[in-house]
Amino acid sequence: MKKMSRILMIFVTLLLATSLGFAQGQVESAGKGELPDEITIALAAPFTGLGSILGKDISQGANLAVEEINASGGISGSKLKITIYDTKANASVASTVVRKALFEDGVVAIYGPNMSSAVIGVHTMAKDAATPMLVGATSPTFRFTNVGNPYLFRLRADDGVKVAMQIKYAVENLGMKKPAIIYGSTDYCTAALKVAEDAFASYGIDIVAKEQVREGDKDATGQILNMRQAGFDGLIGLTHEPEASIIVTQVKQMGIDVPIIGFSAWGVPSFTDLAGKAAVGVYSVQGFNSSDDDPVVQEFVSRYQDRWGERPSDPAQCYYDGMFVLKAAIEKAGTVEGEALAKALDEVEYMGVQGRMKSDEHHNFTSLSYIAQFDGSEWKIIDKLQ
Amino acid sequence: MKRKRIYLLLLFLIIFLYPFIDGNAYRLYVMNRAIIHAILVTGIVFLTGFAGQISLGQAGFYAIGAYVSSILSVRLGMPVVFSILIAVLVSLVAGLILSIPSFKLKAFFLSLVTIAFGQVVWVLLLNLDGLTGGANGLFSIPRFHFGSFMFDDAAYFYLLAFFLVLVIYVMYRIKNSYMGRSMYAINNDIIAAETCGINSKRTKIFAFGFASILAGFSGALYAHYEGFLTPEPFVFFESANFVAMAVVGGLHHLAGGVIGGIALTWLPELLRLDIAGFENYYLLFTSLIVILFVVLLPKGLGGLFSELLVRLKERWRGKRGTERETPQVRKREE
Amino acid sequence: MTLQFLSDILQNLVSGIAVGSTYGLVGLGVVFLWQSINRINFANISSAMISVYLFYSFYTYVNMPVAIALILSIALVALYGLALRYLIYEPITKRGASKLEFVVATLMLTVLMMSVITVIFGGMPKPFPPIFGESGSFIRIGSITLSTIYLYIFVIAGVLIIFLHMLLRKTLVGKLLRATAQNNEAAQLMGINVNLTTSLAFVLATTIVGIAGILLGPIYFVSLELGGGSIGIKGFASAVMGGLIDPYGAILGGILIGLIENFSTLLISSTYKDIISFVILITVLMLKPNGIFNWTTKKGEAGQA
Repeated sequence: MKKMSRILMIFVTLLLATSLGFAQGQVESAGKGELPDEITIALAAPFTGLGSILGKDISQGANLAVEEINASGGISGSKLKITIYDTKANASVASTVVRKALFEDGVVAIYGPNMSSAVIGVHTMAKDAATPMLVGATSPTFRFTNVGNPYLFRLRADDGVKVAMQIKYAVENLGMKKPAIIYGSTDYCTAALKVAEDAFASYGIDIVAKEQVREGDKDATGQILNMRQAGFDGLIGLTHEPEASIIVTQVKQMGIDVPIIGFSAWGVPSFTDLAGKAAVGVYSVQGFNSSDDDPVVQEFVSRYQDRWGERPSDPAQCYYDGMFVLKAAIEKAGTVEGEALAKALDEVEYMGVQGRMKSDEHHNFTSLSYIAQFDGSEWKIIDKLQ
Repeated sequence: MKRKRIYLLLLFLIIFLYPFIDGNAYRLYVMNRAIIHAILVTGIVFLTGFAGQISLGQAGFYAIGAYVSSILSVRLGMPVVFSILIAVLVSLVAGLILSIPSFKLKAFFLSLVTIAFGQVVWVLLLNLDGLTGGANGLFSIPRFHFGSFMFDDAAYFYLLAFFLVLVIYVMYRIKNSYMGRSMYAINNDIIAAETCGINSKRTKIFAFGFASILAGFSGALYAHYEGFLTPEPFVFFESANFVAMAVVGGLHHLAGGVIGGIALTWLPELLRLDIAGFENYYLLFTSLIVILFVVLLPKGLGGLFSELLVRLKERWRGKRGTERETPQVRKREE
Repeated sequence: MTLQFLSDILQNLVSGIAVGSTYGLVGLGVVFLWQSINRINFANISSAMISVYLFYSFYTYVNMPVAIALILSIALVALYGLALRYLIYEPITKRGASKLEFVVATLMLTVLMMSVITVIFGGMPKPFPPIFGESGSFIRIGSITLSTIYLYIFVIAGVLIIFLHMLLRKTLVGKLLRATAQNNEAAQLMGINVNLTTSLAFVLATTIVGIAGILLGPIYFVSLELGGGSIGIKGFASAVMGGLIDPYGAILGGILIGLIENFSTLLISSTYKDIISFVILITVLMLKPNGIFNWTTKKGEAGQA
């Protein structure tokens, strides 16, 4: 009897709360009006977890830009302060840290998450908090034309562009007529798979084999044999770096000699270091190539190398550019207030490492991508598309 | 008797006032996640602490609850309450099936089966992507609503707190019932228990069933709170994390699940210190602290708490002398 | 059945045995600790990860000669075993906790080790030093290829198994270890220095897996996957399939799993091979709790309730 009345009391409270229409937490939107002394920004990136753990590259690119901006007087005198959070390559954790950044830290802008599924899940929070969100994630699903979030921007070419370029090269230049695709299990890979399937369909080419590897698998023999049995004449690689390395090694081992072209996860030192000689001759589409002799790129590479002791790797450059883009936008808007800032980001133009950065109809700041081939020591650029 | 009333009222007041005290969207979110975990971990305390059956696959039920409910409401448009109910039922069925190995296998071998179960569920939800969205995720999962009023973070807090209290109450009743005592018995000495006429199979089925209901329920609650699902929260590591919460909270304690769930959900958040470069270290400290807890406090925080309570009570009684020690008074205090 | 298909089957057979023996190698550590102290150490695989990263550091950053780097790495891993005993096992047993607390502590220990490594080395995999010949080198017999590293694995694993088998069954030390595992108190009453045998058990278990780690390095790269990936679980599965009694069982169990995985990919699909392996594992456990090979000691059981 006593218990029943207690339960009833709680239930009544519940009804009370709902009828009171309790407001959803204090949205501490970013600064209002004039520029504060300290412009706080947050960066959410994966430092642990499955898939490509790009946290180190991302934070190094971002930190380098922050240091450079602050050293040269900040943004109209105000210093940038960056807080970094680990999303653990886990969209649920990303949801938590993004909330912290937006609703407790009250940042002016948030960079990341870098994981597409996380971005799709959390980007509406940026709208709720009227705070710009600038990401490097590459799925075409959250293009502005698809989700219409005025606060969401992308700092590099998305996979709708890059994978399409990859397939175009495979068909038109490598002459693939019976392609096989090998793909990983993360959202990065499966989203790219969809783009590849659509691209091949538009050429009227049938994909003879689609094989999947799990992140952590060390043996692709079965998958490769299935592809051989299907009679493939070219391989499209949509996996992360360790699996890519195993695949090219085993393909070579089995004496199969077909052109191989990977997507942007392949065109990085992490892959070629692991694969060694087996990577020679492999093609890849890339978002960044440190051998690009464009002086702006080389300038960035040498400064990054001086600061961090290693060459930059995709996506360090897009987060680097992203800081300067924000600076340009704040200077243009004259304020850090969210709505004005988002509008300024939509309009501003900046020349960065990735060339001309201007938000297009998808809210992508650039469509830069390269096609390159590994020659044993570096990726030789074959084509550069902007 | 009166003192208990006061404690309960105090607890109730704290619950009622909490969103007003600490109300920003981030903190409420973490607290709500903590309560959801508490519900799940309470099930583990029940299964492993009381009944002695180890399960390292609870994330599998969490996943079943979350995905079944989401698929029903997103793809079939079913009202949230019904989809949750069905999800819990499916989870229960899976739990009953998983209880079967427990009849024959012990400890480590059982744990392997539960690990395998968790992995199978995870691979399935990765690959049945027509239904589950796979690695790309499942989005636009509806929240609870009353007509046109969407439950916000504060409303969820009250709702979840309500469920948690309900769960603890049910557990309390079971613990002091025949089934509860049967579980202790088979945990202690299964042969002796069977000699006394306790049907160990039925007891195990009950324990697994209850734990899977709670895990599935919390999964569904999570899905309809977060609004989207991706496969990462359902990997083996999370199952291990849940068990860690149970151990840290106190496996043999009624409130062990609550303590452990809330403490270990908040711990990583409190460790997000604003030190440059700390994002690299916070996982390190989290795991280190959990290890320290387990090694130094195997009875968990719940055990520590009850020990302190006992000592406090004794000191209180000692000071007042023996006048209070009349049998009647003691009985009512139980 | 075309010739190509037959050759594919043969290739899958060879690859399956090769990959499976790596699982079995990890399983050796599991069997060993179980046979000695009746505990399951979920941080078993972390020894492999630690030895690989240690070796990588000594070789790359300190430029140590290979032999010294190897010995030092394994020695440190052996010490890790001791630390495991005194810092985790002892405090837990002393406070009267059951096996579950040990499970949780060792699970968290693996996470801790992975975090430490992430802090020091970052999260991306690095190439393993080419001490077993160049990476990617392989031999070819007819149309069947095999990476040379697997040959090393076969040989060294073989030696390890024989050594362990002899140790456990034929030597006095082995008898002492098994006696301590079966009945700690009786062993003490018999005058066995239980303290020593326990330490020995821990050290041996981590050392074995540490050696396994070095062998696995060329395949798994110097990466966190060694600690957090599925190989840890597959190591347990191999040990269990083999009955947890004899080192041979672990290797055979592992090979079985490797074959199941490869043939599932060939005959069914690459996507579901994990599920198939797990379902088979569960079935085996249910039908034959003593492992597939049904080896039991005279006293019987490994896992019956």
